[in-house]
Amino acid sequence: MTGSLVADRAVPLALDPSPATAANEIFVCRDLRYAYLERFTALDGVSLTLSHGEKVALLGANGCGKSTLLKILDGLVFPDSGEFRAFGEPVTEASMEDEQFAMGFRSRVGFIFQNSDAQVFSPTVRDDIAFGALQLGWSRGKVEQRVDDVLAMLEIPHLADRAPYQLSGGEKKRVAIAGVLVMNPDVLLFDEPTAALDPRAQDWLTELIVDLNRAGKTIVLATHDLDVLNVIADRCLVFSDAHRIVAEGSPSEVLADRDLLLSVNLIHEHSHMHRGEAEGHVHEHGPEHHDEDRSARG
Amino acid sequence: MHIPDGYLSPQTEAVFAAAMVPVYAAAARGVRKVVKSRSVPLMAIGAAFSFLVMMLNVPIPGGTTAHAVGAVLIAVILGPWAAVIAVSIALLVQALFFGDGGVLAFGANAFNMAFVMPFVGYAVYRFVARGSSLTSPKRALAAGIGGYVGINAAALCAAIEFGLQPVLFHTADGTPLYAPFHLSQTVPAMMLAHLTVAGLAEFAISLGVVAYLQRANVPVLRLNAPNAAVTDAELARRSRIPAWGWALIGLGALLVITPLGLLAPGGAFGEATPQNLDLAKYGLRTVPLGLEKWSSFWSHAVLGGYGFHSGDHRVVGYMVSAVTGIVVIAIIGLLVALAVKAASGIVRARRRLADRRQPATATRPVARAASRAPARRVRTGSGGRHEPAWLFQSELALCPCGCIGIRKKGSFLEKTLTGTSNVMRQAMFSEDVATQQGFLQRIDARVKIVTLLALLIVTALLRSVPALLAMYGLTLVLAGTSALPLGFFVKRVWLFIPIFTGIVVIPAMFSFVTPGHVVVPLWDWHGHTVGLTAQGLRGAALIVTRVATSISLVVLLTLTTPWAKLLAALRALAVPKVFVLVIGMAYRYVFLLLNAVTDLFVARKARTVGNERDHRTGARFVSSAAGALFGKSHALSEEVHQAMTSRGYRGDARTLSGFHVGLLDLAFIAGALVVAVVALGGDRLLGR
Repeated sequence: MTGSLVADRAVPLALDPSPATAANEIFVCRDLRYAYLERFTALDGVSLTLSHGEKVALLGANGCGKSTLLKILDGLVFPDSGEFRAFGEPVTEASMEDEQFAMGFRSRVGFIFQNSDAQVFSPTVRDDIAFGALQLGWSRGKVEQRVDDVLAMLEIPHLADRAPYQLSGGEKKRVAIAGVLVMNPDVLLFDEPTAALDPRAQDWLTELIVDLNRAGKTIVLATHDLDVLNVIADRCLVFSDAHRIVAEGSPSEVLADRDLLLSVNLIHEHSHMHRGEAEGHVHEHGPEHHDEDRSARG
Repeated sequence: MHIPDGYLSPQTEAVFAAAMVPVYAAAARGVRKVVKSRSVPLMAIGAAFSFLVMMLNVPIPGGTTAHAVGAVLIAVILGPWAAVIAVSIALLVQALFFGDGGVLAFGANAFNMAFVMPFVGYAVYRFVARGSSLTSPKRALAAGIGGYVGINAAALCAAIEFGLQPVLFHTADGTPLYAPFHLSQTVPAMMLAHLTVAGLAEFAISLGVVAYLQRANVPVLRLNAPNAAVTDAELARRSRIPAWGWALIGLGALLVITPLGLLAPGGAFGEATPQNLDLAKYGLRTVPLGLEKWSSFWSHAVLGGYGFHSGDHRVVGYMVSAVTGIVVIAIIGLLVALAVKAASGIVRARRRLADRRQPATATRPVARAASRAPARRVRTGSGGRHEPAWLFQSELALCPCGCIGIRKKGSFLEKTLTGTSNVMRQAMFSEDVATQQGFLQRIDARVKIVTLLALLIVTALLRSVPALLAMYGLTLVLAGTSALPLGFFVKRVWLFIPIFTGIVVIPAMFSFVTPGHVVVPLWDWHGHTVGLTAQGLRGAALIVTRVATSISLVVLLTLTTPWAKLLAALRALAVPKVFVLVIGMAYRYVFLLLNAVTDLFVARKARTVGNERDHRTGARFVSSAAGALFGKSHALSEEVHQAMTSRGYRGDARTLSGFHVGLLDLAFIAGALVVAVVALGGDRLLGR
């Protein structure tokens, strides 16, 4: 356990190891196994613990089980065997049948899918962003206020009345994120957030993820983007092709271990890392930026 | 086969709309049982798929193209109840948002294409495919035959609906008020078109998509047949109760209870002779013309009246008649089954032949790009990758200067691509117009829907051409005050349905279709003057103006209302929330699938050198495209369901909606009421 953080700490000290306490643990997975159609293994004995305020990256080649793990963490699919506990409670098909528990879980965990087209399913942007907030049973006034806040925060008020088919890929991603943020979840799960975005949109999203984490959100992301790993993660979990976690460590430790990355088919033997450049990407924000984030949370 | 507004009387439309209500109630229950909470995204994407299938032009023998409806295909994959909902929503989206098929005629269209078609087609499919495994060629063929029979059943229904109009709805002097042709004309005309052209397209797409899914995506085929054996080998291992055994038991039971029919009071309406009919009971004052004419036509029945003519041995006679009927139908069925077996044998033999030919085609230069045959010569690339040598040689194409030859216009690729881009353009344009500042744009969407619907009904009830023309004038005024360029509005309305209607009704102006007072005599035929009749001319003018006015009203509604508002208005007007959710999602995903289709067709076009000569490869491509699309759609619906669940959806969606009715809206309602009263009153005065 490398980078667990105390909830109210504004600036994360990414590599500062502090002892994890049980109160800090939000997700605990023990020996998860899952196979699609009872035939195609996706997870083969995966255990992990996530603490409040962490930024955790799941690394691994295509098809190694990252997305499946995210779906389990979001209570969308349930493991064939093993245990998943969230906020101290077991998450099972039966416990999710309980409306109160399910709504509590859904309001605290948000999932940004890789395919924004699947996630933005409503007739207009405003309807789509409001969807999750309305399911929580909030009043219309509160929902409308929140939708306006989150539209402003993500700089997309001009898209509010557009139909999803009129949006570009980057705009669709912003709308998908807005639809999750409006519910103000504690934990944000991202499935390949920067995939298929142009460099500017990638930078914007990287910055947003860092800001959200500073605002106290726990971040879990599946990614192939090794260049910004140092910025978007405190801790990396590396999956092998055998659908297991084979390594864990800080981004610098993982990126330095070339043999590891080769063995899990994450890099090609001809590729080389631009480590220095990646670290040069880190940029600082003034305190006023944090204040903005905090007000956006409310 | 999309019936526009104005072809059918409002009474007919009301009957069909009412008939669909219990169908939808049953469908909602049937679907819930099969797909549970996944139903919303699955139905939505099924509807989007159905919409898309109606846009795919399938090349058929003879160089023409036609589009399929896809109702039987959806029934085969998702079950007939799901097809009812998916096709209905596709029809609704077409009618409301793209002006294809009438709004008042929605019930009749849904009855034909979303109810009769999937159920008839699915029954045929089940019958032909019974006892076969999921991947057997017989199943694909069964889907094709089901599609063929299904679309023809739907066409027959439409023909009957048209053909009954002049018989049931005409003025005192015999002017037809709606569609002017009689059954004896509509049935042959519709059936000829569907038995030959449209039926073949439906056959090709239903067979092709199932065959594609058998090769590429068997899990999708399992959705509606979870227990079926996948391969013939697996089938052979299972011991089964033969399906025909159950059929025989069912038939036997039916046979035993047939005499129950004798207990029922009266006969089936329309089956007995006119003399035995108590028409007053049905609110009819005259015997329908067709019934009177044709009831004496067939008097050679072998077992006339089912009772050996005398009433002495009623029960025995009834039973003997039933047995004879079953035997005759069984013989016909057996013959059909034998024909099918022979045909599927041919298909299998051809497939084997094609497999054997495969290596030969791989060396043909045009086919090479698409072929998966392994390259023999390879070179080793930088990454140790084996790269076929041909990839690095320039190959002799037809001509490097680009003079590849003139491509014939109107290939199925071009037609489909034009169609999809038109839908996109139309949708974008509607959204632009809807956000402009105009009179109708300022009216509350709910008020607009209700009043325009009321005016649509008024239009359907009008019986004089001047009244209809006045109504049409009103739509022009509304268009003018709502920032709609008049030239565009007129063109959009008249192309293509009213002009098509005008051409189709030309024969109805003549005395041989619409008898009456001949005003333009043309020639003599056995002492009768043949020519244009006053009734015929008035009838033709009535239907053309009525169709144009109805379409104008619908176009006014859709062009001045952003469709999100239209949806919200439907919701506010007590349309069940789940339906509105499905319609909204279907519309949203139509565009996604539209892009997928465009990509597929552009990719195909890019690889098509010269002209597509063989309609069979073309048809196979279109059905593979549709099949791939279906697989994609299904995966997408799963993902959408997860995305909804992740944001707290538990089967009962809550949605934003806010309305407010202002002074302008009330004034608009009052105005519409005045128009309705004046129009109907004036029409009755003129009609006297």
